[in-house]
Amino acid sequence: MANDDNLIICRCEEVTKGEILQAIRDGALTIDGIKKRTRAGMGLCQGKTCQRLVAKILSEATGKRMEEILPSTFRAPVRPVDLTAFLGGDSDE
Amino acid sequence: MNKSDVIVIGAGAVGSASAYFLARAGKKVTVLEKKDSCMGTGGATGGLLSWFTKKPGYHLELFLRSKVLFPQLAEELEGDIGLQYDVGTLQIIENELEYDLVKQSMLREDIPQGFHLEMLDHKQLHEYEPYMADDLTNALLIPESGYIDVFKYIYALVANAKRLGAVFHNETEVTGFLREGDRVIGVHTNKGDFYADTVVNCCGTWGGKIAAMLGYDTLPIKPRRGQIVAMEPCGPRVMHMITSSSYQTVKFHPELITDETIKRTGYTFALEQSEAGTILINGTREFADFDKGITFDGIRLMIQGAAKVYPCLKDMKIMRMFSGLRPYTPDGLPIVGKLGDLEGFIMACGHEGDGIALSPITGSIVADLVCHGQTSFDISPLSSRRFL
Repeated sequence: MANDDNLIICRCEEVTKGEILQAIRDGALTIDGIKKRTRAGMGLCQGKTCQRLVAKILSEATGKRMEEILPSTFRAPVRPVDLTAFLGGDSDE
Repeated sequence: MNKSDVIVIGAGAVGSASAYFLARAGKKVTVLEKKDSCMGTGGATGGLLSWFTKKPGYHLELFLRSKVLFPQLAEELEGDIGLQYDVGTLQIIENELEYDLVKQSMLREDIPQGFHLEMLDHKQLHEYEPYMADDLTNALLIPESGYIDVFKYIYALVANAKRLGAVFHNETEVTGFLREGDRVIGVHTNKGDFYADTVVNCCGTWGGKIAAMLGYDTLPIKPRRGQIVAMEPCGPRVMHMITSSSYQTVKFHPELITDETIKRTGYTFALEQSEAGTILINGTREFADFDKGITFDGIRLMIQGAAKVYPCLKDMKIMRMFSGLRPYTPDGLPIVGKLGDLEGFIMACGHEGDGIALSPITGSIVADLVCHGQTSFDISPLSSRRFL
């Protein structure tokens, strides 16, 4: 297969496969470690699109089995929510 | 046998800076990290470098000693550390009480040389921050405030320490110590034993747990939680680091706070927009043991406060809510230096919200202690003895 280092893996933050492999060479052992070094998974979709691809690259590069690779910590909200959802009650008077 | 000159436990800001300064001084360094860099306190923090939030006296002096090291690091480290000097902080002033306190603080005689404070009127404020709510009338400008990209900075320290020969072991958890009487000679980990002449505890929020393994279980390093809201990325809306004068009030005059929820959560308003366009809303200062969760109370206060100052946030979506733990100590100073009578062991933790800002000076102190057994200035206010 041709060199696919330029392949975009995280579309939100435009992170390439090559950058993810570099993060692994720099010591990243988890999806979170890759995220903090490259911003992959830090954009609007919060890794929902790229996380499995990142896990697969990590698995291939480190020999860890897919089921051994912990998912990145998902935080609330599950999908972006209007800020006004928190502005009930006494905030608007 | 794995033997080096120095073992650094913890690869966060302080551990990585210590590893870098030690490696630069020619020491053979091994860094043992339970997870990975930027997974603890440094993984959930802003990058403000401000003299104004430091307590006048030793705390401020320590910060100033650290501040001068940042441009040196920016110069000598390979790679970008995302340092911006003098980007300026704005402290919005929301009521008369704060206006008076700020006016007082502007007259302080201990404002260090070369630093300024400037009161902005309505017109100036809205030129600086066009998206800010029109009913805000004043703000304090702190021109000499810096900003650093925390992840870039920490990973650059790691990369450069490695370049100078330091060896980092991630996912390597210290489980106990090897001792000969009062001398520490190494550590047990889940990956085997490591030996060194000196072991440095750079475990920040978790530093008390490491000290407890050596029988010192009374150090009052407590996790203090700060909640954070990340908004969806957008174009430039927030031009400066924005804080509120209530931050100074919560930090230095907690007795003036009357609202119960604010008291409980230690809520203060702070807001910044990252290069990537994400607006980050901070924060709380609360004790909840090691719980990294978020609370409805806390998030609601932060969002209400932010939307009042930047009404445009009301048309935007929240992308992520999370929290970080900072290593609180009762007097707001870190613990750096010997631990009791132990030989071959150095503490460097408990920086609360100053871990990034004070990491260069802390790393430099650690290197001086290891290489010369002393420092070029008095570090007795940082001694562990104040808590033993």
